[in-house]
Amino acid sequence: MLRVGQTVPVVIAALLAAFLLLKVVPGDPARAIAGPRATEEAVAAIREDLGLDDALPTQFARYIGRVVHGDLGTTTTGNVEVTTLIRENGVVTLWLVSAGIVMSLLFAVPFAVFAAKRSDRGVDHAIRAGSLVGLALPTFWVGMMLATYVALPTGWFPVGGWPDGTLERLRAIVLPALTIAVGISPVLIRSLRVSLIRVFDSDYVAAGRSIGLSGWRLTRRWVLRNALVPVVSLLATLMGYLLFGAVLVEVTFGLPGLGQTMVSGAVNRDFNIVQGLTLVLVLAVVVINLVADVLLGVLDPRISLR
Amino acid sequence: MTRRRPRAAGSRKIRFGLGVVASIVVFSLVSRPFLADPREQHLKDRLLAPSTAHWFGTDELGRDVFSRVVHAALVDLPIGVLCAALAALLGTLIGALAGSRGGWVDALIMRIADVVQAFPTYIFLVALVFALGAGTRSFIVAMVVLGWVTYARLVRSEILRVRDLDFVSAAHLSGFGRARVLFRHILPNSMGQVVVYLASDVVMVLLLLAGVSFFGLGVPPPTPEWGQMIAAGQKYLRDQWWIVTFPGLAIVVTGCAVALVADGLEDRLRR
Repeated sequence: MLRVGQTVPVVIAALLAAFLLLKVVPGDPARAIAGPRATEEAVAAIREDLGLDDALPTQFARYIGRVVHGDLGTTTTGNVEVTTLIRENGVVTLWLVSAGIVMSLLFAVPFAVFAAKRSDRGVDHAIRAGSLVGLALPTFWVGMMLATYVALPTGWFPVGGWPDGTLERLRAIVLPALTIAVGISPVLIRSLRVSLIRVFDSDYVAAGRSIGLSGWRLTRRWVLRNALVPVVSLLATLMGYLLFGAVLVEVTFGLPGLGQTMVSGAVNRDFNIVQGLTLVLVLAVVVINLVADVLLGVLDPRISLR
Repeated sequence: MTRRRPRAAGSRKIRFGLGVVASIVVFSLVSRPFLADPREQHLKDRLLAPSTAHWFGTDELGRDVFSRVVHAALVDLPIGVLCAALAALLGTLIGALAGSRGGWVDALIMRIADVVQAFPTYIFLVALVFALGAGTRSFIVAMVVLGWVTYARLVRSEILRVRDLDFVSAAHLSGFGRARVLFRHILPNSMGQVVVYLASDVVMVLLLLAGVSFFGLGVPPPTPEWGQMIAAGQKYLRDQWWIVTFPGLAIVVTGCAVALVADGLEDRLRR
């Protein structure tokens, strides 16, 4: 779990890592940025512009300067600003990730509660086995199966693409979010089940039972709130994995989000897109972790921020 | 409500999981001579539905899907195991260095590990594979560069736990050198956690390899690989379901078997 004090070194490391990407590219980095079909003059101009002959620290300082001014370069094809691209496509990813998290929790919480209440019985074993299978499911394949065997026969959901209008979008996001949930829920269920069992066994729940609380009320008001704390931090640590899942799902369902932008940038060898998106996605995860830290403090006052 | 799970349960899971993995490997090896060439194209036999001649049908280039799925097992599994093993090896050495040296070496390594761990590794994996140039080698390099951290942490904390136990003191008192005590006495007793994580890591690498190949950045065609086969079949999903369905099932079965081994190992360790 990321602590507040760690944020600064991680942000610097993110900048450094994005910067160094250019250095591990085999061959001429200027050519990598200019793209495979650039003229010699264009390559020379980029070499000049980035000062690729200067010392590394100087180049890194200049890179930070550019990033701080919101300049992530332009795409090789079409000359679009990478920042513009990120702003336009980021919305789709935001939709997808939020819907994915909501859907994952809708799956994970009931299953975990059910498994924990009947721990070591048939239901528990079935849910545990199911979550084991879930761990081994390739996200993109699940998405395709959902598209083929749910979207096509029923016609309830589009097979892919990103329509206009909020209602249509909500419909288009269901299967992609479900796909993400299939990937994330097993991890959540396993962790939540363990922490639920621990809380169910604790003295204060026994005390709650002894004063006559029972059933759903006890679970919701007393147990879930405590058991959900580790889930919030788990969700934060899973954020990177979740985003990777979002990348896969976007490519599978043809959603024009950041993931698809990054992958098509990578396949077309568009360096600035990949570099810019790496930086933005890494920073997004760092920020989300920070928010989760603050949220944890609110959920559980015993956790203090260092 | 104390929970106890017998050691036998863990062993059963391990044996069953390993059995499935071994069967996949043996079957893939033994059946090779009898299967169609996974790279040979028969354009007049394109997109044939599953039949007795082609159990899993044929793909868009007329290649036998069954043969490709079977051959791909010996592409995906070795890469998965290799990546996890290399990351474990590197992580163990780094963790051992941090744990046994202490001081600024330890502090430095752990700060680096903190930063790498706070990174969204999988996103960075895509970027790194892209930067190194798409392909199997880049994938392995990127996986190891990003994967060693957890192993290093596990080994370090295990070493700190074991360091002051009697048998280690006894080894030291017997006059054994530091390196010998570390590699012959401390490390073998610290590997439990590593092995458990290694098994679940293999599942992860299998999925990541399939994912990265699905993007077109992993194992290049025409080598049969499950993720790449799924990517190629996506266009035909509406009418030719078999091209995508079978390689996916292969990933699920293999992944489940390895995940079961990991689960069993965890049960055993917890006892």
